[in-house]
Amino acid sequence: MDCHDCSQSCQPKRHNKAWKLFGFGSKKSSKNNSSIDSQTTMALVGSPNVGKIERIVIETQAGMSESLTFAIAQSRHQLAMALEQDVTVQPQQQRAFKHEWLHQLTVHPLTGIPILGLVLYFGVYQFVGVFGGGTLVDGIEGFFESEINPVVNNVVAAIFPWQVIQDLFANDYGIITLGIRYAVAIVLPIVTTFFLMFSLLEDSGYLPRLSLLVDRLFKTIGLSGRSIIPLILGLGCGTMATLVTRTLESKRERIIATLLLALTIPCSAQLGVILGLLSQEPTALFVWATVMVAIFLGIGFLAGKIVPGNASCFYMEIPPLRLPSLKAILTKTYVRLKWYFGEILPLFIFASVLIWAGKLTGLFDALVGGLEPVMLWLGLPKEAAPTFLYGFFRRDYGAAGMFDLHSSGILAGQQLVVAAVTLTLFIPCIAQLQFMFKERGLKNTIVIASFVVLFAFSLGYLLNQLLTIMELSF
Amino acid sequence: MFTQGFSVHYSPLNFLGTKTQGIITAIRNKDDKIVKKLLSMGIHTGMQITLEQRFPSFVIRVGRTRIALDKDIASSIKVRVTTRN
Repeated sequence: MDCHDCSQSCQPKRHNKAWKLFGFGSKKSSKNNSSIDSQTTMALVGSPNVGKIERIVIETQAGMSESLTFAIAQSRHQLAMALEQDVTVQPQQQRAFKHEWLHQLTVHPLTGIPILGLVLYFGVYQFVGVFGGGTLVDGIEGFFESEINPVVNNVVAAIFPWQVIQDLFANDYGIITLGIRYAVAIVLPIVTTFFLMFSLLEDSGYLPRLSLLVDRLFKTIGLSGRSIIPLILGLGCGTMATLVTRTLESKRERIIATLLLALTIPCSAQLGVILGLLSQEPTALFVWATVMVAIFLGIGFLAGKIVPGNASCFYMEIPPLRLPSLKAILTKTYVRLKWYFGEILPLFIFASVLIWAGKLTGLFDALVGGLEPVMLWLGLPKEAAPTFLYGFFRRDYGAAGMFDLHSSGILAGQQLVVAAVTLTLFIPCIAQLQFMFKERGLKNTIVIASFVVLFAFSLGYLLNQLLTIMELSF
Repeated sequence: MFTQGFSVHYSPLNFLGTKTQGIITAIRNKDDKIVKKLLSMGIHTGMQITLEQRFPSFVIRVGRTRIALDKDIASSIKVRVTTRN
């Protein structure tokens, strides 16, 4: 391609200097200009060329009404367009507007918001919560309890005569009977259904439309529509979502999103268990949901006021709506699950070992003992203390523990609501904390984490008092 | 026809109604980064633009791309209106 020729034919004359400046011009100037970066500028200091280049930049700028960057980008774009028109043929009837009506439905506020409601209700509540967290978990969990755990307990008891070693692998807190069971029976079905749904939304092109719908609302909490993607992903896994916040535009937006992810967004295991448990009591579910939405908006609003930085801007390309391919969705879900399990399975096993060691040394009992007054303060039974301690290791681990407590009839009614709210708000799991540290740095992580712990317990206390005063029964 | 050719009539995108078509005459924002982002998405002066939606966000069509913008960014795109429905 002859650059010089082309620039002559398709560029306005006044852009010629800028054109040359960025290497599209004669050999001499391109030699000079390929070196305009900080490193080589340093090397060139003192050379007569620097002054020459600076003079060219200033002179060129003086002859133009807009900035140089603008002119250069414009010129490049025009060149690209001219090239494209040269080599492509456009069919008269383009089918670019194939799903136009569907697009209009999803982005119009009057129809888009009900559609969003339907997506959340069927996609998250019915599919992930009721089907994944209810039907599938009950089935697999029941199978584990009745078929696998007794066998494991017996086999381990037959191999190792010592109680201590038996407890490491089997019984109440064993690696297989607790760690693997939580991972496979409770977390796996919920996370799988969530990732399936998320991949479907992602591939259909719905998520950018969702961003567009919520942008105005999100501006009031210091975010932009773009942040809905990590936040929705956070409903699947807060750790993965914290990693994804790096796609946000400003540092301020990243900090607010990280805080909201740590504090208010329940991960899919939590969500599945909580929806599963509370859906039997519509009032309880309503209270939990209202409290979470209120905290999300309230804390977001305050964070938007407090966190320094400029207000965020929103721009996003809206790709056409597409019918996703099943293969792509399955592949994506598989890859995410692989990442997820690679991340959590060792932690689950590690947590089981830690609990085992903690029980053996009495450290675990001491910690649980320390948490018990806090539980009573929240109006919870002291048996809930271990669950909160598990939540420290993995959020989903804590949620899974709550599921156990409820099935054994220890946690019910008002306590269930208070426990659900506190556990949702409570400290992000170790993995999420680790990613917060990686992405946001030590200072932000400490500030966010201590705020989250304090806030969770204070709010749990207040909620318990409030529910008692209001004499709400569930 | 002749007089029309000389009337320079352009306004920020956020002042226009939906379904307005026009030609982009300038892109100006106090934040240079935003201008660069718009340029990199293919929003350039001289291109035809259609405003598809104003609420809850601005939706425009430029070339073969559809882009959502907030009000602040929309105001930085100046348009010479060619049709009005």
